[in-house]
Order: sequence, then structure tokens, then C-alpha cells
Amino acid sequence: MAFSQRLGADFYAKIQAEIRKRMDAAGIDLLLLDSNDDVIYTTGFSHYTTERPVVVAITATDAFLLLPELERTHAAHQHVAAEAIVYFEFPGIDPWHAVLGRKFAGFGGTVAYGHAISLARVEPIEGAFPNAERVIPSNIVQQMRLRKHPEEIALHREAARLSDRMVEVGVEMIREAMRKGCPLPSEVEIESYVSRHAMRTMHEEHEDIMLVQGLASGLVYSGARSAFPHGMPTGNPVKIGESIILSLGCRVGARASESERTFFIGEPSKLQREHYAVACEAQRMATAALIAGHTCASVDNLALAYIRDSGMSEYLLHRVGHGMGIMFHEAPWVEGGDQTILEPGMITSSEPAIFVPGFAGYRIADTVLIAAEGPDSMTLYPRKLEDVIIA
Amino acid sequence: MGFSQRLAPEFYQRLHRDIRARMEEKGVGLLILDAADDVLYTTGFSFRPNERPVVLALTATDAILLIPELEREHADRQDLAAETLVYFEFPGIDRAFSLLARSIGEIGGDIAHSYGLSVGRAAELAGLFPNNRVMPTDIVARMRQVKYPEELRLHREAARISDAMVQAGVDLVTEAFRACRPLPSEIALEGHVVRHALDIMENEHEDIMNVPTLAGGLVYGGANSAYPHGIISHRRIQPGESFILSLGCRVGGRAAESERTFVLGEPGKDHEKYYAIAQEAQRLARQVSSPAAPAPLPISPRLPISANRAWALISSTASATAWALPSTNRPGSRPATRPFSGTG
Repeated sequence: MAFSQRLGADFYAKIQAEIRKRMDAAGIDLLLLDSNDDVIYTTGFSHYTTERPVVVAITATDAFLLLPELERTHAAHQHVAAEAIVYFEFPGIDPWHAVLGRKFAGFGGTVAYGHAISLARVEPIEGAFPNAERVIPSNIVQQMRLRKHPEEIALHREAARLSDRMVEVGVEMIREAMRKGCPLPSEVEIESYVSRHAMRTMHEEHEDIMLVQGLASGLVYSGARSAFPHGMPTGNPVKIGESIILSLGCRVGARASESERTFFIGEPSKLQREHYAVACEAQRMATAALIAGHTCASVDNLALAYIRDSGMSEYLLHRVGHGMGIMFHEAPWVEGGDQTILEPGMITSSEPAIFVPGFAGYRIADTVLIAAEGPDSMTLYPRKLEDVIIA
Repeated sequence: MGFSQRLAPEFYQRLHRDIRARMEEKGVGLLILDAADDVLYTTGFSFRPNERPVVLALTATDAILLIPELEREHADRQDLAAETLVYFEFPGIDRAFSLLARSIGEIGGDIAHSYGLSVGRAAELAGLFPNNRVMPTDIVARMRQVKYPEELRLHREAARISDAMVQAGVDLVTEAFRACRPLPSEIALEGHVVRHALDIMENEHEDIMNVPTLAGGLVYGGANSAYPHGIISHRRIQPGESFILSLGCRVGGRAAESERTFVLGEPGKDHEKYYAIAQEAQRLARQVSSPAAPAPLPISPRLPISANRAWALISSTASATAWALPSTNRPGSRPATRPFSGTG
């Protein structure tokens, strides 16, 4: 039996029941969610975000999904856990908010929307519910999404397995070229090959693939380019004597994981070894500190202090990590300014790194589940120095 | 000398002057733009947006780009039309907007931001500037609707490459069909045309602006193509069905797209009927899109729009293939659900 990516109707019933409980506690009668990720979380509907609003509307008894005509059939095919309300187009002669308002004609309670909504949508919502007692922002769903349900963890774990496999396949590709004495592949070629491989694996081993944006992708950079952590892969071939970062991830059932390792092409120099040792130890410390009850800030402070104490503060460009869920990046933030207390069921990345300008970047990233028993790294690709030398 | 994707400093100087004139008219002392596209438009800074704010703060005299440490080097290399102000991280012990507010100091007039700003950020801004009115404005949104000549040049180049992507996609299908190889899947086709576009840029352009979705598109065959915003799959293109190549790219951060519908093999009566309507509707739309010029020249004029020519591209190949194959291997005789893999 193949691995099924799609969560069942019972999962969405559970999520919506939990939302209703929190709505009741907060005195909210109608909750509107318009972000792509909240829509996936509450209904299982995956779509390309455009200017056309797609909005989930949850009441004490019902769940609706407001969609443009363009998405009607697409939603029907996805067995979405909400009843469709369709408007024709954006901005529309009969605009989306008018269609939404008519569905709830005479509504007099409290309407809430997510904090990430743009101001441009607030006024139309207020206009659509002229009799509403209040129209307010709410973080109900953002809070719920911090802790993952077991069904979601199973998806993350499968995404983690595939992400590790992507790293492995990238390494095999380079190793194979070295063995045959062929020109080494370029960053773009590696990225494209491993992404394609992950998608093929899903196709072969999964059913009900949830086609989301960023299904499988990553960043691949080698040599001095790897010192720019948010650069883009280039057509430059990998070179012996350089290091390369494979930062790869995917989303299974719209749940993200990423696996990232730094490799050496040929034997590393003394300087490369020193850099790697600091990055590796900082990451070990960060992962070990991802313990329920700790604050996110404390984990960041610990690992970044180690890098600073190693005399490499000038090579620090970012925090330890970020939460992962439907999005690759979401709350909580494993960073000095986030005092969120880690709880079992949260998933974060662990990826402190150093970037030596003009030379190389060194980053190891894992996807870590905060479990009651301690940190549970779902990505497992080896990281000892001898494991990351491609020769 | 390659085609340069990057707009010159004079472009941004004029743009800032035009924005400031509108700010002054409306009594706006500080304009805050936090959308990646507004930042690109006003400073030339291209980046992958994430939760870390990247914000242009424009006053009557200054242009300040607020960026995270992670983007410092990246910004330095892009020769931006703004001075940078760097915060370390998000959410940050010292939050990005707090640093910005401190750096800007007292401001006379209103503080305006785009309508796309999130409710959360709007509240944060209002808290940081308690003595000013903080409100949304469409100054930049309106300006962006009419392109400057320098931008049109970029759009036109993006249109040329988009057409070339469509052609590359057609060629790939045609070659596979002709050689009796398995036809490409939607994903493979998309990967191929994206690579083609990137190769063109790599070979012919300088200063490539690495924006998200430098080149991309949607490719669907058969019944999949009836879902215009579906997500492409591993399904292979099948003989006898139509497929849509909806492809585009961004040159210097300026987008164009070219999209055509093709039939692999001879079009059936239904195909012809539906295509004729779609084609006529599109012709009408182009005609009325510019009242001043009843038949405007499309920005992307190089690919045939004519149904006959689009059909011909593939159907002539189909005939040639059919002619070359034993009858049992003719594409048309294959069940539509099986990938075509003629053995000859």
C-alpha cells in the first residue's frame, strides 16, 4: 500500500472542531482565513496564490471556502473539507466580498481574520458585514499550527526522509562524475536533478500527491558563492578543493522538511576543517537544546554564543532556525527575540551557520521534532567530517 | 555587449522624484513599502521574500532600505538606489521596524504605506510613530500601472524569451513524437523550457536579476488543461489531445508571458470549434485593450497566433510520423491513456 499524502476527512473535522472551541472561547462567531497555508491547514485545498482571494469561513456549525470560478473544479477534485462559495473574478462586478457577505446576510456577531491579512482586504470585509458587532484580528489558527498533530508529523517525517534522499542523490551525482572523470555538474544541474528525483520518488511511492508550490526544491551553492546564503544556484560547475552546500527540502501532503549538509570536494584543508568543526558543533548544540520547556531565544543564544566565542562572530549572518509546518518558514522563530516556549509537537529547523566572505559558507540543517523525550531529528543524513568528503 | 537587465541609476532618480512629487501633493512625509515587488520597483533590489522585513522608507530627502544581515552582501552587490540600514534577524531582540523608526527620527506629515501591508505590521508602525497619522496609499500602485520606456524594453525582451520558451516546448514534443520516443511529462516539459530561458539569459544578458520565478510556467495536457490553475503533474502529453504551454519569464524583474494551445496530431471537430472561439475572443480582447489604437501591436508578436499555424506545427509532424510507422504503431492507434512509446 503506497504512502498516502492526503489527510482524511476526520483530520479536518478535528482541526475545525478545535478552531470552533477556540472561537467560542474568544467570542468569535465567524473566522475568515485568506492565506494559502491557512487554507491548506483547515480544508486541504492547495492552490496557486494570486490576487484572487481564496477565503475559508468557519462558523460554529459550518465551513465554507470562497473561491474564484477558476478554482471551482480544482477544489471539487481535492475533496476539500468545506462547502464552496464561488465568485466569478477579481476585482469583479460582483466582487468576492459582496458574494461572501450575501452568504451571511444579516450576520450580527463578531467576525475575525488572521493577522497576516493585508489591509486592502480589511475594508471590504468590514463592508461585507455591516451589522457585525466587531471585526477584529485573531491568531487562533496561527497558535494551533505551532503544534503538529500525529498525522502531520507522519507527513513531515516522510518529507524528511525524502529530503535526506535528495542530499544523498546529489552526492552520488557528484561522486559518479568524479569516478568517471567527467566534468563535475553545475549547481543548477544538481538542484534540478535532485528535485526531479524527489518528485519521481513521490510519484512512484505515494498516492494522492498534494501538488503544492515548492514540492521539492533547494539551494545548491559551491565555493565562494556558498558564503551568500540566499543567493541562487548558478551554472558554475563544482570544483575540487571547494566545499558545496546542498540545502534541499520538500513538502509531503503540504508538510515541509529540509535537510542540508556542507560537503568537501576532495580532501579539506586545515582552514576548511576548522570552519566545519565550529559549524558542526554549533549545530549539535542547537539541536540538543531544542527541548520542551526551553525558550526559542535560549537555543539561539546558546549556539550563536558558541560561534562568537570561537572567534567567528563576523561570519554570523543568521539565527539558529525557524518553525516548519505547512510552510518551510513559519513560527516559532528559533531566534533571540522569540520568547516562545518550546512544546512537544513543534517542529523547527536547526541550522546555525558561518559564512566566510570570499571563501565559503558552512551550514548543516536538520528538521527537528520537539518530542516529550527530547529533540527528535527527523533528518538523519550523516555529518561527521569523513561523511561529508566527496572524493 | 550583452543585453543589460539592470536599470540605470537615472531611472531610479527619476522614479524617486516622481514618487516624492506625489507624496508632497498628499502631505506624506514618509512612505513605507514592504512588498518585494515595490522594493524591486523603487530600488532595484531583488531578493527572495520571507518573514524577514525588507522595507523601503522614502522621505523628501532620503531613501533607506531596511534589510536583514543575511541580505547585506547581496544588497551591496546590486548597486541599489537607496542606502541600506541593517538589522540582525527576525523577529529580533531589536526589531526591524524599531530600528527604522529610530534611524528616521521625527517626521512631519503623514506616514503612508501600501495597501498590501499586513494588519500586524500596520499596527506595529502605528505604535512606532504615535505623533503621525499612519495610513494606506496607492501612490506607487498607481504609478506602476503605466510603465516607463526603460521598463518596456525589459518587458519586450521578456516577451521574446517567453515566445522562445513556447517554441522550445513545441520542439521537444515534436522531436519525441517524430522519433517515437515517450512523450515528455508536463513536469519534464516545464523543466526543459525553463532551462532554455535561463540559457538564453545566461548567454545573451549581463547583470541578470535573479528574481524569484526567473522563468516558469504551467504546462497541461488533455483534461488537465481544463483546470487553468491546477499544478502540473507527471502526466505525459498524449497524441490526439490538446495541451497548453503557458510560459513566461522576468527580465530585470519585468514579466511577460506567452501562452498557446496546441494539438498533438490532427485536431478533432470539437478542438477546432473550441479553439476558434478562444482565438476570436482573444483577438477581440487585444483589439479593445487600447482604445487609442484599435489594433495594437502585441508586445510579443513573434509567435504565430493563428490557429492554423499552431495546429500545423504539430499535426504536420504527426502525419510524417504516421507515414513512417507501421500502422499498429501510429500514434492515433494508441490508447490515449498509455504513454506513447513507439518501437518502430
